[in-house]
Amino acid sequence: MSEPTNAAPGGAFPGATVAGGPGGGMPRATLKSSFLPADYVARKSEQRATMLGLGLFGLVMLGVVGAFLVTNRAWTSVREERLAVDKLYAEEAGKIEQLKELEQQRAQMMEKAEVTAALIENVPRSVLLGELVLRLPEDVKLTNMDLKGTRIETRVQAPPPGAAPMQVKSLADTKSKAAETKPKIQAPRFQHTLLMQGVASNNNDIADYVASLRACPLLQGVELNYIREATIQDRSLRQFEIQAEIRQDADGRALAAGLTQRLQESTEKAIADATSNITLRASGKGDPASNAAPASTHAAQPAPQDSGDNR
Amino acid sequence: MRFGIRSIILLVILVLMPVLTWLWVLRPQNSRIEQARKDIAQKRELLAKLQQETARNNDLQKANESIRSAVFAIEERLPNEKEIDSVVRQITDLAVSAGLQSPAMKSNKPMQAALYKEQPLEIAMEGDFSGFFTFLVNLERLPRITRIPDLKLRTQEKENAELKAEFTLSIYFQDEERQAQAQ
Repeated sequence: MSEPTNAAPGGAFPGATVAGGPGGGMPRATLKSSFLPADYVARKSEQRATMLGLGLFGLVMLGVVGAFLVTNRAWTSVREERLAVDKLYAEEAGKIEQLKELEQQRAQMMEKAEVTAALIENVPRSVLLGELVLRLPEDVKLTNMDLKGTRIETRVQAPPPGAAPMQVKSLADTKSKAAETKPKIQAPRFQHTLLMQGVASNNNDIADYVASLRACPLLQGVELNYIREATIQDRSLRQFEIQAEIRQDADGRALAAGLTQRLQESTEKAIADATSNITLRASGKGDPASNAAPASTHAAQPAPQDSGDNR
Repeated sequence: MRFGIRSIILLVILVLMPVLTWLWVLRPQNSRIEQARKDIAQKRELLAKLQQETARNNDLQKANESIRSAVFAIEERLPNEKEIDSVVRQITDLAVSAGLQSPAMKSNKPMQAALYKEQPLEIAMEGDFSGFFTFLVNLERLPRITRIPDLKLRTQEKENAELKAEFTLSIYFQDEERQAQAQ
């Protein structure tokens, strides 16, 4: 029987190959595929290819869908973030409106506060009088005092560029434009000039008083106008006139606290001096001339007669 | 394994699918995301500046409140009318209680003082220095706002009246018409 060599003995599957081994005998058979029928194998192979194709398709789809989902998620998160930022932005826009209103309100209030505060005198007259009297040297006495207030008329001037406080403005801000065009109400302001006349026993005391007034934080431009000779109750004295201005920026209220105590001390000292003078006079040891000299801190000496200029 | 038409088509589809998805879906989406992120970063930067600016709101509000209360405290001392009668009574009481003689007074024409009205009163009184000083201290303690723009003190030879004081006392009161205009 001569069968094709590729047919396996004993009814092998077609396609099976048998390789002859060395030494003859039963050749070592190598099957071409398997014992399965070829159409079955082909079908299986096709199925495998289909499954592989489907698998690959699924894998690709999975990748595509996955990428889409990831991107979509990123987009959603970005959109949410943008919404949150927009919301914050809207809130801040509201606050900016509030800020604008507050700044406008502040400008108005400051203007009003400035005007209202200007009504209150920065140097109470009691403090001024206290300072003038407490600074008097022992042998100096004031006879007249003139305080004259002149109202300062201030003209409204346009503020220099960059001088205005930073404000949030919008182009459509008609309210603030209207406010800008409204004339500014000026606070009443005064300039006070002080003229004092008095007497002293010698020029040095007057010089001391002028120096003391120059050191006074309430006054500026302290000038001695003249020193003249004057005769009071047959006694030759030095009459003087001092001119000064009250500082615009003086804070008299800060001085007021210590003033009461200083006045009290001064009064006690004056009383003690007067008592000792009376005691000395009663015992006949005092100098009658010194008693006639102005020693009190009060402006109670009668006005002397002028007897010539002695600047 | 043999590659048939079907396999080639499948392969082409498999290659084209991600490529087209990238081109038509993912790339535009990514560019939108990128743009949105840039916008967000820009807005955040601006927002930080706005927040810095608006952080002053509370301070500003507090400052305004304190200014308002200060103005209110001063305006409380300004009556709606001149109330000359009560001023005359108060000044006379203060002078007499300080040991001064009863003062002479002359009322001048009222004048405008910014948002308010000013009524100057010319006053003359006699007494001693300590009495006048006490009078001034008490006058400054009065609940209403007063101002002494002019003051003259003269010593004189009189018993119980070593000093003569002449001064202008300005009293202030609210001018509602002017305030309404200002507002």
